[in-house]
Amino acid sequence: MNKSYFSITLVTFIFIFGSTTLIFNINVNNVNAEEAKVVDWDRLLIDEINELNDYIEKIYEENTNNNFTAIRIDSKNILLSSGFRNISAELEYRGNTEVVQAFINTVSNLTELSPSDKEKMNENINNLSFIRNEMINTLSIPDIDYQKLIIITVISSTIFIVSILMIPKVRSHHKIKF
Amino acid sequence: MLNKSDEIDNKKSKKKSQQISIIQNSENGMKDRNDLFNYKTIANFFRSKYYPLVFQIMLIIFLAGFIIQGLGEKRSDTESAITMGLFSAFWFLIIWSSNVFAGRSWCSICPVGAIAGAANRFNKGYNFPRKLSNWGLPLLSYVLSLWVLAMVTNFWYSSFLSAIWIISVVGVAIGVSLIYKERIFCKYLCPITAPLAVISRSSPLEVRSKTMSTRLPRSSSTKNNTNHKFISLPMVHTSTLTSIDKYNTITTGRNIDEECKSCKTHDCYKGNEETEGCPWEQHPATMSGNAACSMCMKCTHSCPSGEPMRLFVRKPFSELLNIFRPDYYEVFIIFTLLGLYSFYQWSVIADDLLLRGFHDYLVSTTHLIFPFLTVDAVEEYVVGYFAAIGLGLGLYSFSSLISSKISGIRFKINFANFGYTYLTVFIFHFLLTYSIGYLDNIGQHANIALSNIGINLYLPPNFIVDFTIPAFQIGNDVISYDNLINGIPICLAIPVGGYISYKIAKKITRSNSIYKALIVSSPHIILITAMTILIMYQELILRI
Repeated sequence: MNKSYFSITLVTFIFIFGSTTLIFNINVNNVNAEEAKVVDWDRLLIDEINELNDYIEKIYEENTNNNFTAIRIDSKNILLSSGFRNISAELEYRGNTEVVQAFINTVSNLTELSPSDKEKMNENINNLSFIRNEMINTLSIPDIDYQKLIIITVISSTIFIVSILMIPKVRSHHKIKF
Repeated sequence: MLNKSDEIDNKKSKKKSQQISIIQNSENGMKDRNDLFNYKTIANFFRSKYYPLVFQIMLIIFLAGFIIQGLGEKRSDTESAITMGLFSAFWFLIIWSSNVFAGRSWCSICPVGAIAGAANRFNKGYNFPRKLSNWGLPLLSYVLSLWVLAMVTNFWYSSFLSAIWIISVVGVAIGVSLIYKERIFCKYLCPITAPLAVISRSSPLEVRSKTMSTRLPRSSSTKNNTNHKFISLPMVHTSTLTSIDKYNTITTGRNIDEECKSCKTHDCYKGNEETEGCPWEQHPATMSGNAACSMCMKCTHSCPSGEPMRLFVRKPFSELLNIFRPDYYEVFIIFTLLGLYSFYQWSVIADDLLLRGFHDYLVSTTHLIFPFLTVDAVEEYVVGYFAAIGLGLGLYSFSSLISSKISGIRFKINFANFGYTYLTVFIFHFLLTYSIGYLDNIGQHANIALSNIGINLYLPPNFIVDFTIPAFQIGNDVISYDNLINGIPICLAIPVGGYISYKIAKKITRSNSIYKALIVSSPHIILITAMTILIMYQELILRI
């Protein structure tokens, strides 16, 4: 087979395959529109997890210093923080509502405990870091946004293949050395 | 029993016979294992016409993605792909690590270089001013466009400013390439050309003609004269190389390959109808250094026979022993790198070891001189980085002065030759600290990269390996693997740097006496040892 025919066939195939998959994917999403949830939070959770880790570390320190008032304030702040909101939204989107609920319960317990409940306080704080690890483990499983993946792959691979095929031809046609 | 001089003679003759056998083997058509073009897959890969093109296009797509994201980024700067890509993942893991192991191979696939190269086809034909054609301009470009700019704007922590910065770099690259002949931007104006040029000299890979390989002995007639001739310009301008007579008179101390000598077209240098010649205007037949070779393999593509130009493996740092035209600008670059990456905590070390309160006093006093900068900028950049460069250069000048007094050789020659030995300190510190230590953050970078193509997940920053785990405990101090990685490999700088100093001393004194060479190189060996110990202290004690 002539090389240029082969290249044209390859590019056409990628276009057809890419656009079909794209259309199929969009249609599937539209059919299941009622079930589909709108993702209105940032799914990249680096800052959010760092914020959560900072809070938990702070609570640990406050517990060793027996600063219960600060623990109560920070526990309330965790639940109100935008970081936790994004994390819980992502976990709920993935169907892991139990972990989110367990975390909220533990933090709520911390806000209600009095200085006399030192043992319960320790137990809850240990629970907190255990649940945090659970959350991170859950989030470490990839959740693929096929639509985005396909769009990016198709666009970049098309540009790449077209460039590889075209540039040498343009150069030799215009007698540009390379 | 053999006496000492017999042993030395035996060793010398053994070495010579090994080197002669390398040449004879290549002449007899026997495979040289260090010549990577003897391996079919490698040769086909590099000799393919698609070799840099495929990577260049891939990286241009990446660059475009980074710029688009940087300009329209809604995320925080710590989650941004452009700051992660430009100043972390590509910077340390790809560009500089590849620089240490494979010379300036990054330059052959660099997207900015590719764009500049394309623009260069339509240049106006002006020659770049001869006075600016040296390593001084690249050094200025590196310090001003990266470090001074960062001091004033902190741009590498901001995705928007990073995007603007890289757009400006591309703009300058296109502008310069449209005006001047040759790859002037890549040679003299690229913000990272200066460090890449110097570090590439330590690389274990080289593209050379068969007879110019670093592994081969130099011819005896020119052996003693090479370093005696001090020429300040490392990169020779086109006008000096256009005539064949001229290039034949420039000697590297090695013989030019017979096939190259009889060649009348010089396609590797000038190019032919189909393929361009060396884009960096180096004559491949006489090239003996990695500083201005981007390993683009254009010489192998354009050479009619394709045979003389080869890709060789050599001993790391071996080029430092035989620098053709050593240059004091390169020494400035080496000490700039040491100041910026290895020795920037000098005032904290002084504070910790000798003078309590020195660091704070220095910062507050310096801030009075630079009131328009923030205290943090003064502490990090002026007192940290820039003063470290000055201090390093001052100490080095002093040891060069002592060494020149001992040897009776001019200070300038001493200064230009011995500077290369300090590259070992930088490389042994830098390599693990910034490259392998980078694995500590790889999870974060994987999260950002994958999220941009639609794969959402969270990996802890050190998910591959956690170097913060304690290795052992001394008293109350816990030493982690991170401390060890940063503090131990630098020890190698003492023997390697010391050996290179000794060899250079032997060469510039033109003496066979071991003692004389040791005495001449001793100020530098002492300085290398002191610097190494202080960096070890910085990494092992101050970091805890």
